Amino acid sequence: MTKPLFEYIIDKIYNKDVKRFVVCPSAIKDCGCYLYKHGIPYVEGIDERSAGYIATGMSHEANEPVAILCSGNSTFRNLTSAMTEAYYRKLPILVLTIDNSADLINQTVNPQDIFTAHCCISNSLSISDIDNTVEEVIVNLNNDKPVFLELTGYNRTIIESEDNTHAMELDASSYLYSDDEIKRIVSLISQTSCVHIGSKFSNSQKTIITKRIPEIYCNDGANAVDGRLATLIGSSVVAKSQLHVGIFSEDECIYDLNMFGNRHVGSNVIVFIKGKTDMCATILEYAENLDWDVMSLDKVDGMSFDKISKPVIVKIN
Amino acid sequence: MNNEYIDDTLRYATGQYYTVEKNKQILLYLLKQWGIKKVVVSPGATNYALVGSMQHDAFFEMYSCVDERGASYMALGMAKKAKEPVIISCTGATSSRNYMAALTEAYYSKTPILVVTSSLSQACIGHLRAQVTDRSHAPIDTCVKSITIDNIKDEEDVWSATVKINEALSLLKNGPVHINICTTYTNDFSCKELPVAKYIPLYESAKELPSLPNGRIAIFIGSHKKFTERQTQSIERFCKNHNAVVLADHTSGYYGKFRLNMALPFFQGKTVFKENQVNLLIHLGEISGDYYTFGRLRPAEVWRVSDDGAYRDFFKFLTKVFAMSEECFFDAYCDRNVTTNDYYHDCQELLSKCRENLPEVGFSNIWMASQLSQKLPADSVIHFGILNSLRSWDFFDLPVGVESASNVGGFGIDGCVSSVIGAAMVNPDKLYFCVVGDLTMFYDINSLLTKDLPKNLRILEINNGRGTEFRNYNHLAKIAFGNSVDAYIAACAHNGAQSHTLLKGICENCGIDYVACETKPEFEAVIDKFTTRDIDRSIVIEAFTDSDVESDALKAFSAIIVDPLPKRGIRKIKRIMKIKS
Repeated sequence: MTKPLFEYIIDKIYNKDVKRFVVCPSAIKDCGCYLYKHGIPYVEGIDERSAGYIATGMSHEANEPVAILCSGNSTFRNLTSAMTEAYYRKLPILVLTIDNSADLINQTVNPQDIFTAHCCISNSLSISDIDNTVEEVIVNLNNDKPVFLELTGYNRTIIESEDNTHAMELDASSYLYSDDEIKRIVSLISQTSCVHIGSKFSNSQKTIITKRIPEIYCNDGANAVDGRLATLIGSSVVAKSQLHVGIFSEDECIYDLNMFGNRHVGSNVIVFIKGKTDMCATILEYAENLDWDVMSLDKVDGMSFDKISKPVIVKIN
Repeated sequence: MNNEYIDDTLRYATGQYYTVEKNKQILLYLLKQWGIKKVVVSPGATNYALVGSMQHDAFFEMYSCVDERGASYMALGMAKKAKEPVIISCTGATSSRNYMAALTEAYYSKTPILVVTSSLSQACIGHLRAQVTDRSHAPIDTCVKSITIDNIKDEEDVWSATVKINEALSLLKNGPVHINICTTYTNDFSCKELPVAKYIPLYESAKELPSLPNGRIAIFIGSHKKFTERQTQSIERFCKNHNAVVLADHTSGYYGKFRLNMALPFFQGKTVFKENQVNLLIHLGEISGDYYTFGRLRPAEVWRVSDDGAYRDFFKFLTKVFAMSEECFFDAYCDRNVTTNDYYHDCQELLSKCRENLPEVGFSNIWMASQLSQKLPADSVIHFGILNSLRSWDFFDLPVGVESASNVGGFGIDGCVSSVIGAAMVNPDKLYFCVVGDLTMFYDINSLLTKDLPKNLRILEINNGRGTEFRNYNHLAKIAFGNSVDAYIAACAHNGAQSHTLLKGICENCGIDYVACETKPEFEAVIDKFTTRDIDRSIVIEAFTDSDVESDALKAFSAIIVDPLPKRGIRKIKRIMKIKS
């Protein structure tokens, strides 16, 4: 029976006594469904940093190794701080990153004091080489050493479609902004605004914005979900007289939730948030408690945001 | 063939002794201690201070080889044949690059080659200096350890070089080791006798262990994975046998007998410290957050015991390293049969003296610790935030059966809440408490949105509206800036400036019970609910405190036992009073 590389690895380490998994948001689609389908318990972290610390707390408490599953894009850098904790407390944590595409991020050089071993597996290796590498990972974990295992070159479409009910569920709830929503947002803000957008924009949607508003930023460097709101706020505090507009997903706002409470946030910030789950309401209330104006896109047609007296958060849907 | 030319006269009758360069002196002294004498040298200026010194000392069995590639392979053959480490030494420029091939061979055959490369000071790298090459990274499969010993400028450098060289030499058993040693090119070889450098041996077998020194023995435990029953018994038996104590705070994870959390006594006047001098400190575990205890300990010597055999000289008094399990170490020393445990009782008495005279303090982290610590149900776990919370709670013992942990590894405030969430998921039937400040809470606020958040969490957030640490009376930033630390150093006024709705709102949305307290009676009223083993909803208490009250509480706790004024001091004060009157 053929199976995708990451499933093979997960099975392998699970059978070798790594029984606890924490799955980062960036890997939930790929790994979550597999674990779910096979009845392997796992915890979903809300962001990589939190997921990393959940794993350290769990490993110490259970006195067992814990595997963190994460995608290979730059979000895995958020694990650096929790892995520092793991390194200095000798906690056996395995960070398993999975890459679909060609290396976007060079993961080969990391701070000295986060991992004791760095292993790589690609699907060009023979089964016996893969098994040997997994063995090396396990030996390190058994010696209370944090390990980095980089999985490259696996293709997510390998997953059999009939096995994929859970994944379909997740896919159905994946979100992109509609062109109409983008147009409405653009019509509400002045041409001199500074717009920051999230990671889930098509090129044509970017064009809708740039046609009217020339200044648009997107953290395309690593194209990660973290730090979007923080980047917007950073820009807003150095250009206080310019309206700063963020168009972000719910996930992107969750990563940076504590930025809503930053005391430097001024009345030149508007965040449009595309909701996905009921957590969106929680975010809106959190912002409201910090004295942000909370609105809904349905109810702001015809309004002008050129002069606002408080930071504003607008729910898109 | 032509070796007859190199007779003793040519080698020794030079009128020169050892170099005055201190880093070479330390290396030479330690090579002799470790019994490493065979050396293959290649010609050059950057290593002549080292080679010239070795030439003077008949201890070193010297060979010369021009080509470094040849020299390194020669050393490989010598080491394999003689079954002992061999030193190779070369100058700057590309000379050391020629070692790479033989070192690769030595690495994979675990042959003990000590590579001593030579360089100008590290500061010269990257500035187009002739012969300076950058050796900060060695290919991963050429040596098991690579260190640089720069020119020595002060005592700190001496300490660092000494420990690093000892550790490097201890690792030769695993394969080649690289020491890049810097030089000033001095031609002063006037040192007739090498100054003593501290020899720190490594012990790997429980069969050949040194005898324990006389005097008081204490075991200090930094953060540690959970102790097994077996380890705890070994430590208890050792303490009983040697009149020893275990200095273990809430990060140590040690709950056995002879345990003392001495943070409070050590926070008192200096006279207290004198009573607690130790002759031998046995150091276990990793990083500790118990600043008061480790800050005051001045042991005569420290023995480090850890499986990893790494040279961790936290106290700077390291004299021996034991690469073995803790139970193996302690079991080997159960021979003294001392009948008294007076050291433990003395410490305990001192601790009681402090605990029985606790001052009345205002509504603060310390006060809440004093109230809540004794009410934690047995079989619960408590995590502490960095650093005010951990410190406040280290003043108090926890009930028997309560375990504790803190993120002292990376010492970050960024993930304390996530860590307790992870821990709580392991045992859904136990209560997991967590005490954090507001910066820590809001740093990690999105962790409350974690899917399937456990219901057995009990989070106490002390919201003083800032990093109150920096407002403490004794914090250097406070002393320098006063309350102006609030602007940037203490990050005041974020997160709604002690908002009464922010945390409450998110808790409600996450299905967590929320209670706010601003006074002692309000807190007392909620303790029962907080500590009841009724696991159907997690609970957050948000306690609003004032930084001045927090600081005053800490100050009061520092002055339970004050140092008597020295007689001379009293006379001086009297004289000043007289002048004034």
